[in-house]
Amino acid sequence: MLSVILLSRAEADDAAKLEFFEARIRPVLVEHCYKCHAVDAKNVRGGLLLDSKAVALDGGESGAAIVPGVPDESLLLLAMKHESYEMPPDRKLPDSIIADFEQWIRDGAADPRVGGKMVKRSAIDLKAGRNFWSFRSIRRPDVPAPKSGWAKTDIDRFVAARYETTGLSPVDDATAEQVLRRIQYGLVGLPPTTDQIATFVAAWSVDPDQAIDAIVDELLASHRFGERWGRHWLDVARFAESSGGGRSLMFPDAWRFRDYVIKSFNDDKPFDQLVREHIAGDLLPYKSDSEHDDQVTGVGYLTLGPTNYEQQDKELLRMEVIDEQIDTIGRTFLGLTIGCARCHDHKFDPIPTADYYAMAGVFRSTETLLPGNVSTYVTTSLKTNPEHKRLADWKTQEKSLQAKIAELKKQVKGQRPGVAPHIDTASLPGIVVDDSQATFEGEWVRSTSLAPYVGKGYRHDNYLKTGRRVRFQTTLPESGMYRVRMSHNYQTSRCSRLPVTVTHAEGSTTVEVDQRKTPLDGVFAELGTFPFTAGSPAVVTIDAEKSGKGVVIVDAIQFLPSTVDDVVVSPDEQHQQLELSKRLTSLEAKLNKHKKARPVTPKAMGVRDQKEPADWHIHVRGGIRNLGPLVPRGFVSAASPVDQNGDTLPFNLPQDQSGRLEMANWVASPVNPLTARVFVNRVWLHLIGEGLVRTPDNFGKMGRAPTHPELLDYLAATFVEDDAWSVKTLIRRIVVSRVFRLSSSAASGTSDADPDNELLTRGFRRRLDVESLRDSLLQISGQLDLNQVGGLTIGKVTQYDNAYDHDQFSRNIRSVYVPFFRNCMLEIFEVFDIANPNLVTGQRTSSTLPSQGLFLLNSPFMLEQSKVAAEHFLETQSVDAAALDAMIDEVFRRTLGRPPTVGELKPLQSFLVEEGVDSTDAWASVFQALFASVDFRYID
Amino acid sequence: MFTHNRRSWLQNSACGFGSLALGSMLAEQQASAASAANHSLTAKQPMLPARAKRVIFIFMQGGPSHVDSFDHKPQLINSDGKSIDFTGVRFGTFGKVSQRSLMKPLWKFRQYGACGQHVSELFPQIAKHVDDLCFLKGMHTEGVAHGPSTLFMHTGATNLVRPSFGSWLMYGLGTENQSLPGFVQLQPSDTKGGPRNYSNAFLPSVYQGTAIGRASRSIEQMTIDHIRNPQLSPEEAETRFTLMQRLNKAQVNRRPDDDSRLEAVIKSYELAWRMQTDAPAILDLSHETETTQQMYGIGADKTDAFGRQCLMARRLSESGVRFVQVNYADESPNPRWDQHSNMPKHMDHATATDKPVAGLLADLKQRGLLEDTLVWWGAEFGRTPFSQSNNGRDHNPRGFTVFLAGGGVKKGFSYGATDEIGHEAVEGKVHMHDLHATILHALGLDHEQLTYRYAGRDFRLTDIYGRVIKDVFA
Repeated sequence: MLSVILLSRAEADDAAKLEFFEARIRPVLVEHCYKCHAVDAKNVRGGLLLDSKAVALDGGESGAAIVPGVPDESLLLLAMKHESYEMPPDRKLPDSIIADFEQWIRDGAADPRVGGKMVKRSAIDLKAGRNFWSFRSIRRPDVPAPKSGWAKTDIDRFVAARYETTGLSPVDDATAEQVLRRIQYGLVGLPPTTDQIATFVAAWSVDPDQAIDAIVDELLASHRFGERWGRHWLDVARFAESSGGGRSLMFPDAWRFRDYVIKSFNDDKPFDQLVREHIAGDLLPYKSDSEHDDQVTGVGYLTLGPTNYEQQDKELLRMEVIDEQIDTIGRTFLGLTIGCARCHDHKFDPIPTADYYAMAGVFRSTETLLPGNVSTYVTTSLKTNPEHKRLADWKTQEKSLQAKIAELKKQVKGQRPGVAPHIDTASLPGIVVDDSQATFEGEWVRSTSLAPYVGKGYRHDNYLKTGRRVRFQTTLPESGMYRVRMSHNYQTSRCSRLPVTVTHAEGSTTVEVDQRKTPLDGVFAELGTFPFTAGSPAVVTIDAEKSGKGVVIVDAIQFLPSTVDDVVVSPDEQHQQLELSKRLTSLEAKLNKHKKARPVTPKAMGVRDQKEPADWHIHVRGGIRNLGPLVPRGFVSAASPVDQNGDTLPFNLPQDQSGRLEMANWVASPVNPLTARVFVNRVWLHLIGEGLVRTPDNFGKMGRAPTHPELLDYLAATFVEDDAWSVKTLIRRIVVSRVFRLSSSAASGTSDADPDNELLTRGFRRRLDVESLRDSLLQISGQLDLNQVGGLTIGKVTQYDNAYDHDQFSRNIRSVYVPFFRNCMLEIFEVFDIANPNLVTGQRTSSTLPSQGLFLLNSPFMLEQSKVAAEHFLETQSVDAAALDAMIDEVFRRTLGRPPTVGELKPLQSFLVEEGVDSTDAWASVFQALFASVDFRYID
Repeated sequence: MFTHNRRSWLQNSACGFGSLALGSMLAEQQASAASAANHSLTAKQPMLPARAKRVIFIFMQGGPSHVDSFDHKPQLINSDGKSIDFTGVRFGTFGKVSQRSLMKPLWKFRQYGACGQHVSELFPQIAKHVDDLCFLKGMHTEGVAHGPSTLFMHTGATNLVRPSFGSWLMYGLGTENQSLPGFVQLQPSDTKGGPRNYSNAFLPSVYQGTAIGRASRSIEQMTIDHIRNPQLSPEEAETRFTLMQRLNKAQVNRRPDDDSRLEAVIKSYELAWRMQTDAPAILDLSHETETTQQMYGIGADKTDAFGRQCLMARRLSESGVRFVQVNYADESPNPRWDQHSNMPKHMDHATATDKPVAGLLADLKQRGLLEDTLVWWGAEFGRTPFSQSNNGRDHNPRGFTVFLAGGGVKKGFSYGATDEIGHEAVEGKVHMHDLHATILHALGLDHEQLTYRYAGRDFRLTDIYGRVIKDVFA
């Protein structure tokens, strides 16, 4: 009986709850939520549906929306309260509605709605992903044996094999001058000199192969090589010397990374070693100090990115730096857009979000940032550096100054001007009466602003004198003569004639005190020596009303028995003391100045492992405070070794380290399918003009497939297996090939059949990059300073880059050394498409804009270079109207690396004859016209 | 002879700058293999019916106080000196609750126009136009410091490198006058994000913003870089130019192949030459009558500089420039409106900008340009209702006001609200992403469709956010 009643009561209860849902909850859901959270919504947001019970309980990407009975864990309610998300987005609902929802959830979230569709969540098939061409292992292909005799090297055989299957044939080789110009710009980024042209053309006429061998040997050994190839690498390392972002912090040590990169290419450092240094240079073993320094400078790569250090949400800042590191490593070395997996599984490539947070765990276990209002970054001290000596010298000097000061201090008695901030009453001899024990009439202001003072502070009259009097009174323990002294700190604003009256055993004496004058010992002014009787009051009164202009300072009065002679100072001694004081003050000033001139501590930008490395959570939908499950640290699974079943082998990272060293070894591993492929493609691109993979930073599904997959793998395999990752050997392989020599002037038939030149039947005509453009102008005008081969080139290091005046510090150094700031670039760099240092740039854009035309026509830089080139030319060339053609010929060789054609010669002849063959202006016009000509701006 | 050639070149280049973009297009196709869109600056048809054709953004760098200007809060006036609990948003105080003292507005409000909009004594001239304005009083945004918030306002991201609003507009709509840049920044600041605020980021570089003048330079230097030859007489310059183009023609003609990039270079020189001739006239304000100049406050001490910027903006808009940003900006770490202490200084900035902005609104209206020009007045954030350093106010990204005018928005309208003291947006909330989406919508662009594929992902200005506030459209 009882149970039946209870049951029916429960039924009634349920009915009431459903009624509550229908009356108070459903209408709100329909009106405010369904627009974005129902099956038929145009865009379902956050993967969350609220239009049936099951789906609402299941929740969206952030987890369950409703936990029946537990309002505090129900995301829906928290979002309505604006405690997690802010929903609905346009306004907070009235408190009464929120209270309804709270009650509804507490009561069990009764909900009659059935059905509903789950939003599908994708699952990445890693096994299928590994089948994509770039994730497959690199296998050394057999070299084909094409029938024609065109091929010179194995590279050519791969290319020629495709000619034969497609029926296309290659164009002729380029001319000797064209090939030389290509090699020069390709290897060192500078135009050939007229001597080099003569030598090369002569050698070419005998044997083109040997001519190329010789020049390649010469250039690969030149320091200029690293400057050129280092700059290519700085593009993908998104190098800059400031942070960019809101307040663009200068990186005063970034140049070390730049120099390290240049040196690495010049030393032909094996590329896998460079990879390890970039990712984990701080964790690698080293045999020498210089090896240590090289490695810790290399890992600066992780810190150099664009970072908005003033971002106030430091957790967000931390995750954004980590994101930048992951994404940059992905693009630089692997050609993968791993950053896409931050919020969801990668839509195209086999990179689940878990892989992203596996890598994020590695970087959360790595310290890059030092938080602050404007945060900063980790640096590492260097062991070898010329600056060490300067620092050591500086330290010696500092010690010697400090010793001198200590010695002087012993000789100087008492207090000195402006030294001690306050003097403890107890430390003084005699009887001291502090202002805190005196009687004040009128309003006085307490202060501690200026030192020195006795006791807890002093008082001043604030320039208001009327009715302001002070009385110091004490009784002295013994009768006798006492020196009476008054302390006051001195300033020019003080009163110069302050009447002070001393009442003693024989009456009273009034003396005037000049408070503008430094007291002899810096603290106490002497009022005189007077007799006092034990037990009778000893009184000193001060009357501000009778003082002259200026502030009156009242601090303390000292009664010093004249028997105390260690402070009695003779006039001579007083003088000597004053001199000593002055010397001391000047030495201290010198020390201060010295401290400010401390040589920059040699240090490199970098990272270090956190003290407590740990795995990290998946951030659901990328939200930084939206933590999902923990994932073990690791890397991109699809590009990692597998077991017999084809499952990714566990990484087994050491728990007491970040895992960065293992990450470095994984990227630099010969079995990593991506690293070698991506790098050889970059080298091919710079030498040939287009990559075998035309999207050099994207080897994923959204990138392009290789035009010559076997050639790509051949290059990657020989690079790793035969050449031990030697970049110079790889470059040589490509430059001596016949493909490198193909003319870029295509017969029209070929280009119609293969408009994008995917079969490599002709050369690619390339725009001269801005560094080569600027360096060439400077070389031709005779101004290029090739002696600057590294070091800090920022003219004035300041906190931010935005005030940097490139003009003020302009120097004719190679462009790679020009200060390179994210928010303040040298103008010519910006105008001519330099790599955006905020992004990994495997291939620069090449725009053609009128702003470039205006720069070439009117900029002071262009006008100056043209004029100086003309002057330089006329200085080194005998002016002879009869030999005008020879002069023009010389100018063409200097600028375009070839003699003029008839079509070019004629207008120049008539122009020069008209303007005067000895006119600097006329020749300046010729140089400017040549600098702006398409043959100068393009490499054929 | 040469003149003839030049003309024929120009005639042949029917789409002007458009064909110039070819060079970059070829190179950039690799970066966006899947997006075969033609990256040109030629005017394009919008996706949706457009209310506005162009935008003038008047940027009040530093963050003017909404509670002292347009957001009238009687409760704040009544609560002057009262303490409130405030949860910190900056480094060091993040998440910590402290007591802050409310400060009433320093200026008196009164109602204006038929709509009765409250405006304080700071902006008596703009106040006369309230019946043409559409106020958004429930704005909120990201970031707390100037740099992140300024970047967010321009690019929709506080830290990540993203294209500027104007670059997206160029990408979506191109521009109408091919001898002027289509996305112009007048006297931008090098600080608080600097050039990144008008950078194309990963969009093709034809879409980058062009700075005309810099905040650090005088108003007299407000011109296109290198628009004149500083050394040669016009005759000498032309002789040099002629020689250069002869050489170029000879070089292009010599080649057996037909490389459009080389033609594009020659054409870019032609256009640069034409810009030298045409642009200075458009940038020359002396063509305007004295009455017009006075309307903008030109000639008067305090308003001359900003008046010139505003008048320049009108001339550029009139000439078909798609996006003009007028910057009331400087190079200091505490930008102009950034009164952390000494709020009374707001009056100086109001005085410098009130008349010029009012003049621009009136001038656009009298010329019929306001019909299809959307004016956006605002900053990266607003200021707090409580005081800082005695008589200053701190940054407030949680609630602030901007106004729009023209371009099909409702007139004499106010949308959204902050709480009773003006601290947080509570009603009709418009996030900066929403404002971006709404302005794109006015120009006929769907913010969810205006995407660009870069590095394997389709990016958009509003990321995965943004709502079009349809209520603001008439």
